[in-house]
Amino acid sequence: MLDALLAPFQYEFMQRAFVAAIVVGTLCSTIGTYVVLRKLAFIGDGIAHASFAGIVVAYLRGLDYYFGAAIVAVLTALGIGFVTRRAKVSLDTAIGVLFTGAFAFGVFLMSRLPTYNIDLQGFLFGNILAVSRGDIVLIVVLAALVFVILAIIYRPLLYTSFDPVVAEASGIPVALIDYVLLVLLALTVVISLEAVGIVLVAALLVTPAATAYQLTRRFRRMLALSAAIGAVCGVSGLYASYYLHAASGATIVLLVTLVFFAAMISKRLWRFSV
Amino acid sequence: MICKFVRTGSASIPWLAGIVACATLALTNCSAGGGSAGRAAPAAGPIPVLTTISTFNSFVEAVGGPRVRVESLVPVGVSPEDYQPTPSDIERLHAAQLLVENGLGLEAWLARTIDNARNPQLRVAVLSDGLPSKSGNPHLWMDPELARGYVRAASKALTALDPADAKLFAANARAYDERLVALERDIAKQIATIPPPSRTMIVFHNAWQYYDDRFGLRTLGVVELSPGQEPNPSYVASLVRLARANNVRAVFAEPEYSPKLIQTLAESAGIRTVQNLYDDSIGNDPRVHDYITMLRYDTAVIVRALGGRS
Amino acid sequence: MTVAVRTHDLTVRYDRVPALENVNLTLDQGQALGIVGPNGSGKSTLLKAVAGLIAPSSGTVEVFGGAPRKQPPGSIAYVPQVEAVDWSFPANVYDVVAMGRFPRMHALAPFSKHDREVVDAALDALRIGDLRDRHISQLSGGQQQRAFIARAIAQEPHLLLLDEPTTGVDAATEEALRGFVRGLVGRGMPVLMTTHDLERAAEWFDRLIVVDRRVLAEGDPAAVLESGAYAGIREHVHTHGHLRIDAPDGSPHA
Repeated sequence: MLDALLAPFQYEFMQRAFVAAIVVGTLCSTIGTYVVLRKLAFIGDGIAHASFAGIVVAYLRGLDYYFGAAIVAVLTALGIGFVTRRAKVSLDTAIGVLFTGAFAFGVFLMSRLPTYNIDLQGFLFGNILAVSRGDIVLIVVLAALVFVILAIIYRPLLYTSFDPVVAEASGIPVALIDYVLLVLLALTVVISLEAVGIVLVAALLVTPAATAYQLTRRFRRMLALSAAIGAVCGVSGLYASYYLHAASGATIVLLVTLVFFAAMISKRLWRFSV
Repeated sequence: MICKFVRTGSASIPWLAGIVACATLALTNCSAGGGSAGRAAPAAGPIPVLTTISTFNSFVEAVGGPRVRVESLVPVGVSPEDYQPTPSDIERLHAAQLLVENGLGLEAWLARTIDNARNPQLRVAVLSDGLPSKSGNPHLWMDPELARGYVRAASKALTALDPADAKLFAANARAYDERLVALERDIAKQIATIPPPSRTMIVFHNAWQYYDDRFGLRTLGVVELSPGQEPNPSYVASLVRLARANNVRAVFAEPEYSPKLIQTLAESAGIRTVQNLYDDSIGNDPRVHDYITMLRYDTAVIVRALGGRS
Repeated sequence: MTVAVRTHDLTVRYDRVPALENVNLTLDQGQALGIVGPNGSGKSTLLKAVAGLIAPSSGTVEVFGGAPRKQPPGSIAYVPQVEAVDWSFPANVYDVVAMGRFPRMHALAPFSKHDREVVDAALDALRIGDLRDRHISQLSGGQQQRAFIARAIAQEPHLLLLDEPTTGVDAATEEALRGFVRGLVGRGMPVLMTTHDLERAAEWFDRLIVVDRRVLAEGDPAAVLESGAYAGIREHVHTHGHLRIDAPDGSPHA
């Protein structure tokens, strides 16, 4: 019985996939806490779509795909931050236009090539089974970097998330914090591309945090709970996909969604909270 | 920026129209330059022939010689199963006189495109017609013996279109047929040098069934069972187990596809050799410019990878 | 005495519409300066300019001799009139007041005993200690106001800016706030506060300034109120429904 449960772990590709799942799950849901509270979900999804253009251009220039994705993702994030601050109001429409256009540009470029071997489906839906040794090192190092920076800016980030006006008056560099968060979000998206893909990364950013939001009224608990949900669902979803013979990225996202609804129901039926 | 358009009202509409017009012009100029081939050739000129994949160009060109001008619909480096026809393809179909396709579902996307092209003059030659197929796998041409049947089919189609050159076509077909027979002999000799326990392959697509059966190899596992269908983790695990149990020496990728999954599989199974094989498209690599060189190249790769002498 | 705040010909325009014109004011340490004026008079804008949230279109604002934004973090505490916060944010009263400590804390430093003591003291000073574990969405308007003032106090600022803190609070709370602010002032804190309410201005403030886009009157609270400068405006707004600025000598000009 134990053998059956441990079966997946004997394969090196599964070991790497588990590491990727837990790292990406934890990272997305941690930064996802801020995404949900600051209402950045649309921007997160948009960064993911725009990064596709970066991947295609990187391919055309013979550069590493993740490098291309990262450049475009970070530039997009900073650009959105800049435009939103200037206008002082959320520019949903302008943002939507830019992201969809960038994604279409990527598809357009790709379709014109006589030959290409970018795994388009892999980038759209994730290809966690193809995480190489090099990839896993990159994922872990970058994720650690994001976590460290989040820890360093924890307090100003919390204050600016709750009350940016008073925070600014009291001397906290609100603009800088906003930009740093957007860059971290962009990096998170790029790190997660291989695990869950462009289409599904927004779900991993939003759903665990939204679940935690339902269950607690304290910020630190929401953060911890969100991270825990992301980690557990990442691992469990991968595990489940092994036995269900299903695509891993989608299984993970389905699992976090089920957990969300379970939490919602528990809250209403049994006044469950943390 | 977008807000400005809304606010300034009618003054901006001509400007907006101008931008849309320029954008459309820019895009169409990008995609133009496609279908200049296959325009209605004068009766004395070469017959415009369209093949579906570039591999078949070899057969048609071998038989038709200077009497044909051949182009393939699916560009080099793209897998036919994933191919999306473009408007310039429709244009080319409209102008061609003969379409050479494989059949057996390789060109599932083609039927509607042919309808859209609306070319009543277009004759279609299905190369695999009449040849013995196994489990509906369309990759018959990978077996040189069956490729001889493809050449016969090409010859028949060209003769029907251009009876005046029947003798020329027949002579060319015979000559090429001899080359195919020689090729088959050579490959058999090389494969024979592979130690019997090592005669197993794990490949990306199930393109090697006919080649394997002809020459005594075994395709043990296929990474992508149906095109575009990503393998799930337990399937990949089963491939790893299979590879280990049979001491598979090499896994084979294809240049049209990202090698990442194959490499991961190889690492997990302790297989050190990963090589690219060609099957449905040739042309970019100078070593692989027609059917015969493609098979020779692939055979050399397989033989070396599995421990034989080439 | 050091000058806490000084503005010189401060002018703020929003899209070319002037909200403040040539405002000159001075606030010393250990003083409470009240800013009165009707709605739309630019009181809040003035406070925001002092807080460094709005840049002057012309003229200058100086806090402790320098630009507001260049002050060390935690120097300026600003309590706006309407808190535009997300009330469903996961935070209770203690969490919100504790945020007041953040500007002065180093990045990875833990919340120290001193920090906790300051927060507790702020909660007690505003008499909301028993609300510490209550979620912010469950507070009344007056309790919310007190929580945000407690946060400002927990910051241990050098300048306190309050925008209409007594609006919507009951008389007892208002009296408690007045006593509290006077206590701070007595210990040296400069306080700049806007208000609608004139009745007890002399008890709240050491000086009063009447603003209606420009400064109309300035000085000792009782004297300013007696001069009728404010009354003129207030009456005018009530009877005519629009604003006409009366110069101190009584002659009208738009």
